[in-house]
Amino acid sequence: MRRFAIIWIALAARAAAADPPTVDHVVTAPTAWLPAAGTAIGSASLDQHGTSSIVVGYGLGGIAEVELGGDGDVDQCDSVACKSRLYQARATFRVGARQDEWFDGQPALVFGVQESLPGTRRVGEAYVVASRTLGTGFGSWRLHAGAIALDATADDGSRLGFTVRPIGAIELVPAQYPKTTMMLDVTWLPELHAPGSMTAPVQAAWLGGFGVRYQALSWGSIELAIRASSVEDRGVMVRINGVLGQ
Amino acid sequence: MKKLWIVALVAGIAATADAQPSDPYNHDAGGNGSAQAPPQEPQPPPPPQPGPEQPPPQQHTVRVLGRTRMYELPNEASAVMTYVEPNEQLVPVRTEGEWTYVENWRGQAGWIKTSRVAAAQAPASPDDAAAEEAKQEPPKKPEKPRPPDPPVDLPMLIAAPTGWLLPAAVLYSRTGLDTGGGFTSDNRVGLGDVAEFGVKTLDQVRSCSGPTTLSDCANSASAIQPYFTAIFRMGVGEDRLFDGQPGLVLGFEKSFERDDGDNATRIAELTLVASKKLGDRASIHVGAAFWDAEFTNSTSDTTVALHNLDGGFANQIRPFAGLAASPIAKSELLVDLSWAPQFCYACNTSGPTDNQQIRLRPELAWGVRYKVADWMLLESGVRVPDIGNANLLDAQIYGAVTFVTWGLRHAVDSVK
Repeated sequence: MRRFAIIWIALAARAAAADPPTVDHVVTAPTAWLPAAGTAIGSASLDQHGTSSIVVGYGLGGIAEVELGGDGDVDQCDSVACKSRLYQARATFRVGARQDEWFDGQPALVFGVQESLPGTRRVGEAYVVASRTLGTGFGSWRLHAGAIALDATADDGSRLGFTVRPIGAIELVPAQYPKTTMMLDVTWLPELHAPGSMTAPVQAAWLGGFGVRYQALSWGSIELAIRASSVEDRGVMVRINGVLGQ
Repeated sequence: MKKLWIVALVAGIAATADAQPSDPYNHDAGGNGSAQAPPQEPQPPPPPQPGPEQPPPQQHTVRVLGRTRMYELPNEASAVMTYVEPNEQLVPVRTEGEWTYVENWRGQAGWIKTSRVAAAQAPASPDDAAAEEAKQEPPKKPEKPRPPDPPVDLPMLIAAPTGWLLPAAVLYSRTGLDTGGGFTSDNRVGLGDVAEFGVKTLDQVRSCSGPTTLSDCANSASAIQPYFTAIFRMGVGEDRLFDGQPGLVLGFEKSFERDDGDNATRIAELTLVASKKLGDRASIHVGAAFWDAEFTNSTSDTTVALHNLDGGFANQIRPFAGLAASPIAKSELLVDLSWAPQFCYACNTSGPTDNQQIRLRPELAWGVRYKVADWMLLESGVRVPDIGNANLLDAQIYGAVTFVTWGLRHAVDSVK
């Protein structure tokens, strides 16, 4: 245990050289990075099935972020397959502390709540995530770990109920390629099943992804990722991210 | 010989002419044969002739009250250089005791008695008519620069009131939206540093018409909006009565009657709140609210009021509290607990569950307020309308913008 603590402190000390990025997600999982005060961020994505998303966010005072957007991440399944997506407008509020803010070695911490806008099918999330940048000989590692609480309702009023699941992600910025980030994550989303199917009307399903982000511009990056959920292969996704006012 | 005399006379006249000063005052002085006339008047330089591309620098000038002697030294025993006329502009250079060293338009510099100096006037060319007018008017007192407006302690956290009042004639406006479709607007004005008045529209009052039990109602209740109220608050500022005294405010908020289907609803709230700053970066707010609410069903013509339900005052009194902290300058982290009425029109009207028809539900909220400018704040956060129900789907993410302006105060001050 003591050895682990020494290694952690040593790695954390090296982390000072690597500034945490502003992007608040890995592939799908949230990170604890918060944009600076007055900074606007935006991202837009499209996958091979034509599912798209767009999100814009704003840094509030350096300690919080508010996001507005829409996506089709939630699966809608019939008795055979999950081939349609539930597009939802949603808002997210995240508040937290940056890494090393309270004490040396402290990971960045964020408490976030995400709510869909009113409708018959609603999804709500709350999560706590810790993120830390660690420097090694290979490059800069970014580790993310936390827990997410989910709830959702289906058309017929069926409800998932308060469900808690772990989330995690790893990012690596190789020393030789400082503009490239390799990503791997897992998170959880509600999954809505049509009435009469064999499974429960609303379930929590894991969603994993891995990919590469290339910081092409000081204010913009592009991502290529492959995602898969517990019920289907979601295929390739391309996403662009932009930061204004940094 | 006669020729010699003529030549000598001409030469003498010429010499006298050479010795004549161009200064008419010196000529006069010499003409008077005064013994105090300067023996050797220096040749004054011509007045400056600035070119059109280089306007002369504007200088502060003075005049004398009457014809005044200009001395070579700050001493009446020293030589008189010339006489200064009242219409002549002089540039003061420095003062020593009762003497002022001045320079006239001819470039002559010398000392005059300060008591002979008239009031200063605005710089202007000698033939400037405006300068002549200005000469007649007493100099204006320069206006004091207005001190910067002090920061305003806001009257609300997220949903809970604070024990701080708006300063006199300061306007406050807060407008918000949330993911539940709620819209709020709160507009107030400070009255004499001891009170404030405002008009609000709420999205916290909720109702349900179908469910007949409290738990079902909690899951399906929706906000009645817009719900207009008027609010009046009065109190004393922090440390006003004694050191360490928290800000104390007594507030009363009353709604206009609001129809909700077949039911006409009304609410009223009396609050007493104390707020105390903990250092420069944190504050705590604690208070109690005395609520009343009622609805009248137009079909059955029955009225149900909170104060008539079983439980008495216990149903109506609720504590509320809040915390604010600024971990970073211009950013404030807010957490508060407040209460709002919920109408359950179809709930049981008899037995021990009678009071379910109108219940006060606790609301927890947290968020961040970011001061974009002295007059504008952006705010966002999460509100959980019924924390007793612990429904994640009921949580609402809200955004609000707040404007605070001293404009009315400055306008009032300028009229005074």
